[in-house]
Amino acid sequence: MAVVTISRQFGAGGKTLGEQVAQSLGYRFLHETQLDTMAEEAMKGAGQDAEASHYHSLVVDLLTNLAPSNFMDRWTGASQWDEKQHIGALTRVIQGLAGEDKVVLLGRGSQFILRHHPGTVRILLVAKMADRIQFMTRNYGMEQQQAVRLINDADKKRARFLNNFYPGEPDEASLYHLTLNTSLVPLPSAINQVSRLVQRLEL
Amino acid sequence: MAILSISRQFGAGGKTLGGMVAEKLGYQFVDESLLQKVAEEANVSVRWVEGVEREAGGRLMRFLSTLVPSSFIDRHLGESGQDFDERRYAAFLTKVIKELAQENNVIILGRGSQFILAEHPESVRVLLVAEYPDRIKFLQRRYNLEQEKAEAMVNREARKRERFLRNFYQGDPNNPSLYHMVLNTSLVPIETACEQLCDLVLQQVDRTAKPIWD
Repeated sequence: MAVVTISRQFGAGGKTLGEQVAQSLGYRFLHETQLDTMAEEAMKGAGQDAEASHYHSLVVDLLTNLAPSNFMDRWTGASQWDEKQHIGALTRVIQGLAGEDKVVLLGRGSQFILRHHPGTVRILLVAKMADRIQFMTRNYGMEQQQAVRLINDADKKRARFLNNFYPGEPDEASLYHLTLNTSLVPLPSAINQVSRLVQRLEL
Repeated sequence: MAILSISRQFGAGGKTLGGMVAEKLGYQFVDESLLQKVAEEANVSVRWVEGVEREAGGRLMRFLSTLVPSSFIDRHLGESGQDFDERRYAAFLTKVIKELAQENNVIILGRGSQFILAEHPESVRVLLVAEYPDRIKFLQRRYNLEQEKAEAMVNREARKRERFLRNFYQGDPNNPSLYHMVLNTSLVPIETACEQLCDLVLQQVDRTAKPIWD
């Protein structure tokens, strides 16, 4: 029983890995667009100053009714929320999800929000720029130029967003239990590394 | 068939972990004090240094294995590389480590092996990191040291490591993209880290496995 957070450089295969790790562990996988949607819904339902316990019951409701959303929305669409309020709601949603246990969370500062939450395993994925570009063109059918633009844009957005939670370098390995370089470690091996680590830590 | 390079922040348990993985996989473990010893021998016998490139790997390994018993003299406590010009020492290490890599089923601890073997197709490169207080505690426990002494050692070794690795690489040696995998031994117990490393080595060398991009 654990909560797994997967942080990654955009295009390092986080969603692909997260889904398969969740499947192998029998956990629920939530990608960042889903986390954002839940934060937005929770904000509408509870208001930004609501008690944590109220948030928790909202999170449970939202989980049951969560519709599949487009993963790329987060990176291609414009944000419609005030960032501070959104981060507040996101924090409480992620804390609520951690209370539910057996989840794999992709991104959205979850590595920092759950830094002191017992039973959290924090994973970082890194990869070479060239491989990240190739990954985006193959997996999302993008043109090379479009992938380069999106990755550069996402890197900037990510750095700015994570700065809300942590002032230092987010790719510093000592913040995580395990860091994998997906330019060098094949997917089956990466899935095995993460799943087995979660099982072995017996949290 | 692989060659595992273990790099680490001093006190993150590299020597202990390297020994455990070597035992589990039946690999030969070449730690830093052993390489230092080889360098000292080489300094005595220049002819031997020149011979390294030409020597068959098997002979080098036999030579190394005769040195194993004395490897327990902890060379970290000495001033490594002092008698041997550092650039020459780095060039020498490059030769020896590349030669060792011909052997396969070898684990090499530190000494720039992550850079020397960066292009080696059978190499698996890992880094161990740990929080500063944990590294001090580890050394106190493992080598029965006073806190002050352990702390001084961690600080001194960190400076030495930084300076030494600059012979091979100008950037930050803790950049995770230089390695296959980084383990944080502040959060992952050493037995678990050992199992994770064995898994990585065994799966990494399985050529039938598909890379993530396929």
